[in-house]
Amino acid sequence: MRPGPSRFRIFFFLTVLVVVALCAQLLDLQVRKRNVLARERIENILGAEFLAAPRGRILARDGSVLAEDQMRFEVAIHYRYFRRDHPLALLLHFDALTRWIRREEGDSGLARRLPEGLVPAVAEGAGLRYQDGLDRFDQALDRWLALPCSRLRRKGIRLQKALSSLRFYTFRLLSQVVEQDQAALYGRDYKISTRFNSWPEDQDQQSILERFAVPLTGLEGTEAQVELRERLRRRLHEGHANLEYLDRRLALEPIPPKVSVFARLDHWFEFHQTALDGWLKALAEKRADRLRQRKKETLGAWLHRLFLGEERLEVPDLEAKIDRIYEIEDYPKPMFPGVSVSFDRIVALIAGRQALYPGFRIQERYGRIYPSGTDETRLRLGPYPGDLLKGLVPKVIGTVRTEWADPSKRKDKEAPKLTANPYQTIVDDYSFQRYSEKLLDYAWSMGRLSRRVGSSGFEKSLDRFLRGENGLRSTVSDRRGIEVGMPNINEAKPGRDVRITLDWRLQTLGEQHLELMAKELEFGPYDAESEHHGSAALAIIDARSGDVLCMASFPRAIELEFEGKQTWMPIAKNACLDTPFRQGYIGSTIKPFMAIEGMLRFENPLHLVEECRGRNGRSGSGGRFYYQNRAFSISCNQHVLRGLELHCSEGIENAIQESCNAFFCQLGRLMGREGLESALGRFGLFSGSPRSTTTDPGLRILEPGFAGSTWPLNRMGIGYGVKAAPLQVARAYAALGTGRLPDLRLVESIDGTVQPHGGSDLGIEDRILSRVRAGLTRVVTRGTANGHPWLSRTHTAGKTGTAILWAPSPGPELVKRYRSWFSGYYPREDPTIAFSCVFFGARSGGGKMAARTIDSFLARLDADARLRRYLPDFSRSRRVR
Amino acid sequence: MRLERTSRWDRWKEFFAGFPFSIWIWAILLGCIGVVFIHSATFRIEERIGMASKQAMVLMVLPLLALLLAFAKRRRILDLAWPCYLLALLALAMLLMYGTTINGARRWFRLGGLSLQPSEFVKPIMILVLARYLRFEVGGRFVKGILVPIGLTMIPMMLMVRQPDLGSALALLPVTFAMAYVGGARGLSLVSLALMGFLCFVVLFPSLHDYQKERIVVWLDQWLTIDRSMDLGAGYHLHQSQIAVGSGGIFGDGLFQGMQSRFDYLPYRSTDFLFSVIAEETGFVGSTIVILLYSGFCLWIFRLGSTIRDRFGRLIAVGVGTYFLTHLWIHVGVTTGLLPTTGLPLPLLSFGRSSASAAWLALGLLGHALLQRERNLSRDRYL
Repeated sequence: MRPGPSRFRIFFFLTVLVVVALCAQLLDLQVRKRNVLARERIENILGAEFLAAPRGRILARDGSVLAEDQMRFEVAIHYRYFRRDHPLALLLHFDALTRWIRREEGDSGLARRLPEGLVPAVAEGAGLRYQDGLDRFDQALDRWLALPCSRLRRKGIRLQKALSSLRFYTFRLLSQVVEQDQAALYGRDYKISTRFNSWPEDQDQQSILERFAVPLTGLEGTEAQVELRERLRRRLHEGHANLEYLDRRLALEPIPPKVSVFARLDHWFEFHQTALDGWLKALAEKRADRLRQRKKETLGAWLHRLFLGEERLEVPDLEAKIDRIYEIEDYPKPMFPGVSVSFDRIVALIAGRQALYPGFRIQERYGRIYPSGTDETRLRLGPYPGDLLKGLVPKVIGTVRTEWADPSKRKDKEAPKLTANPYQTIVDDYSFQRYSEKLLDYAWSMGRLSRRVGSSGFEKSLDRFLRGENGLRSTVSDRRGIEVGMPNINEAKPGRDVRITLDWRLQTLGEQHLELMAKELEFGPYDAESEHHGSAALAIIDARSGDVLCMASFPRAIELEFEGKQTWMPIAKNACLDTPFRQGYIGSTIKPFMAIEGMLRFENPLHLVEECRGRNGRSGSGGRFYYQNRAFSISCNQHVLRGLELHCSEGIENAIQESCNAFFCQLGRLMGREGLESALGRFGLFSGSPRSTTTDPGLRILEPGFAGSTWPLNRMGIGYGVKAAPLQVARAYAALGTGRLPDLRLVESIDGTVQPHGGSDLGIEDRILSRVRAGLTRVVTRGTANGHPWLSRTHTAGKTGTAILWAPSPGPELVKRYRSWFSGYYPREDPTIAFSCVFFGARSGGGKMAARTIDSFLARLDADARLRRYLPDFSRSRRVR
Repeated sequence: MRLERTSRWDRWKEFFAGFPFSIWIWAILLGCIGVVFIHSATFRIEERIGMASKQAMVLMVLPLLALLLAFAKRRRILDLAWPCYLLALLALAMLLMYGTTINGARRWFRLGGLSLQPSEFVKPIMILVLARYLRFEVGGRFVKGILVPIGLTMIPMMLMVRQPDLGSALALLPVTFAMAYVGGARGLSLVSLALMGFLCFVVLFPSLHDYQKERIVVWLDQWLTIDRSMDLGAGYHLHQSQIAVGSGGIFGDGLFQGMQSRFDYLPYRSTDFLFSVIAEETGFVGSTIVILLYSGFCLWIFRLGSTIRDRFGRLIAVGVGTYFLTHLWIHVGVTTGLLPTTGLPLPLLSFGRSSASAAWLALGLLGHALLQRERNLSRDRYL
């Protein structure tokens, strides 16, 4: 066969085929997939850095800072900015791991003391993110193990520093594997360091693995090599896993700031003196030799082939950038040993020149600190948050938690939305942050997306003021992460400072005092099934303005939820705002309000009821009355009639003084439900009343009243079935003392803007009020709360309350416990302070327990010069009988 | 008898008779396009500024040098074929010992400030050697017509694979097959061999370098599964190139406006991924025009080759045409994701003195094959 021109036809056909195939592919990419690829291109280039917004401060009444955000800095090394297996990154990673392992072994002390899971807070220095995963890390490790031992020899002056570093890290890694103290390795047993120079030259071509396997493992042959490799891998994987965990913890967990700052400072110095500085200096010094070496082989190329067996085009760029670092005149001196410069200055300098540090990031974060208070009430700066979150912080000021932006950590309904629509931008439940998943990786690595929100206490109730708004700094950067365009900055809006009316010293004293009393009562941890369960509250307010001065609560030492299931109760509970026991009836503290309503409705209700003869007056009953044609008898608990024939014969003052159940039961029946609502609503103790509405943004308070209660009217007349929080009761008593019902105010000012006072006159004639006040005075002087010197001395007027509570016991029967109340105000002539104290689960009534608590509390106030101003001026006081 | 005096013009005309001016102009046009886009790919990078002007210089010099080859005596060219082949083999062998390693591949000799890539020169040399060998091998003899040419190709191929330079090595095979086919080999035999070669490749897949395996897996991955986890690793080149090509859209970002190259996301954009720059900046319209220009160039070579009546010339023409067509297919195929990632420049357009020299060497051979004067002296006729 003689081939002719026809054989060319196939090439024409093939050419057309090639053109069609290529154009079809172009059509697919440039027309069909254009939008997707264009978006990926934008995502390549555009970066987003979330600018953390500091949370606003919480200030006490006197201006003391109760909670504030403190700036922290963190150095992170991002492996992604280095080329794969870049020797610098590889060595840094080894260094990070060995550093962590060394800490773990306890020679630094501090890390060793920390409980499991808190190690990263201190050992955070080793923050290299190795994003390629463990497989890649294994390959790097194998490559390192396969290096010929000759690389560890000193071959020439030019290589001295680089080889020193290599020897240094080799030594450290190997020393960790044999799990011996490093000092011992310099000794006769191992002599690893000297072996680098001591073996015969014919062993130069042995790999590091071959050379060290036998002496370090004590095994023979390949078994030794397998063992050494496994040990190394195990140790480093362990380190790697912890490092990963460490990164996460660092990014998300509030860390006690002082520890963090100093640890980072130490790390910063150490890091640059050893790993980074050594290498950068070595590379910088090579620059001068580069031209001379160009005809042969550059040292950089040699080193890269030495480590990697390859050289990349990007390496000269990196070196050039590193060189530029050394050309900066005001380069931070602490990069070199022996010169100290303030940490802030270093951070500022480095942060300002991040473009010069490819792969290194200074990250700014905020941590919450609680600086005020005594040791007990302050969150001390230390690594043991479990011990410290007592007193003001968890219960009153509250705590913050991290609101995860990472969908894998979020359990809310937004997570599946994100997963389903990776490019969708959504607003999360808390409306504080817009984000898309594509930005998430970057933002996550920068640790900026997650946000701390109030978890309990004021931090929670005032969260909308305290929480700032994160900013966003969008950048245009090239492949190496170096910014090449002007960033678009949407500044973070810091949270607003909130000044609260609380006096933290008074609060602290109140909590301490309640704790003492609770100890006396043998209150145990909260457990509804225990006979020792109990709680207490002490609410103190300014009787005129309604400012909340103290809202002490017991228990106060509540462990945080993250510390396990042994929490006592939900952390947001405060017995001043709510009752830990749902049936927290106010008992006889209702009686003054009943008396007022009775006088308003019936002028003299005593004439309408059957007289009470007290428990000892006639056998069996204190009073008997008829209700709906049925005879009822009720026991009045007063044992001593103080020379009076009848309980109420001297008037309604006497009924209050003696807390006459028989009278008030009948009064409740007489007034009916509507009358009860009116009596309570007038003093803001009924949820249907406009006066009960709390306008203060910081107070999340129990709905008062008896909605849903099925108690009979006569029992409700003495406080059963009527619920109110201690703060509400204190406010009602302030109204009794002043004739004006103030609005409770917890937030004094927001960013300097003073919040208005509120309140309304009771509109009750003075003659009625004065009779009730007289009754309250007689409660302290002669009645149920008599015999307490400080109550008399401060001219306190108040009312005790005792409601029976049947509590569980070890046996089959329930035991009798009480809700012991004592509420009132002082001085009675011109009230300045109103208070309410309650014990839930006490073994005695309000007169013995709550009134005694207030009495001793007043004594402690007098003992504290800084708190004495809350007591009346005794020089003007006079004793009233 | 009075000899008719010929004018100077006639003498020049006779001298250049058959010379493919159209191919030269076409090639220079493609080279100019290449210079523009090399400039676009490099002008923002300090250390790469000047690459376009270097390429322009090359474009001015090499066509003239190629003329020397085109007008060389055929006898001399034929005599040079085997020594050049041996020299190429020697260079490839020495490369393994003395070559400079860049990015893990030992493909270059450094001579002063110049880098020389022998595997590029092997391509035109193989065209010459195969054309010389096949010029008398008429008929479909399997051993002499197919196996021997493939054997001749396999030797440099093996050496190139060792560098490793799989792309250049594989680019030799289509040239060999095309020349063997035009030389008289049976098409069925060649197709069978190609299938066997593919099977061998599948069998030998585990013995490839890790990065080569990863690239193939990543390439397959774009159709088999959607797993972008390797985008930062082995799939980086493919992914970024596809982004550049795709985001160009229909009309492109505009000349010198390609963001992928501006922000350094596109690797090797002046050489192995130059087409990505073209596609990003000129879009579907511009890149299709470039493809049409290049494929038209190949078609024209085939067209001219089909007019040659001597076997040597035809073999040269088909070898050169296939050489350019193969490079177009692989280069554009790689940048668009039709083929697994491999580093192969687009001759005449991509930056690279070795690549450009090899292309113009091939064009020189083509010019030589088309010269009327040399054709007349040839003894290896089809007729």
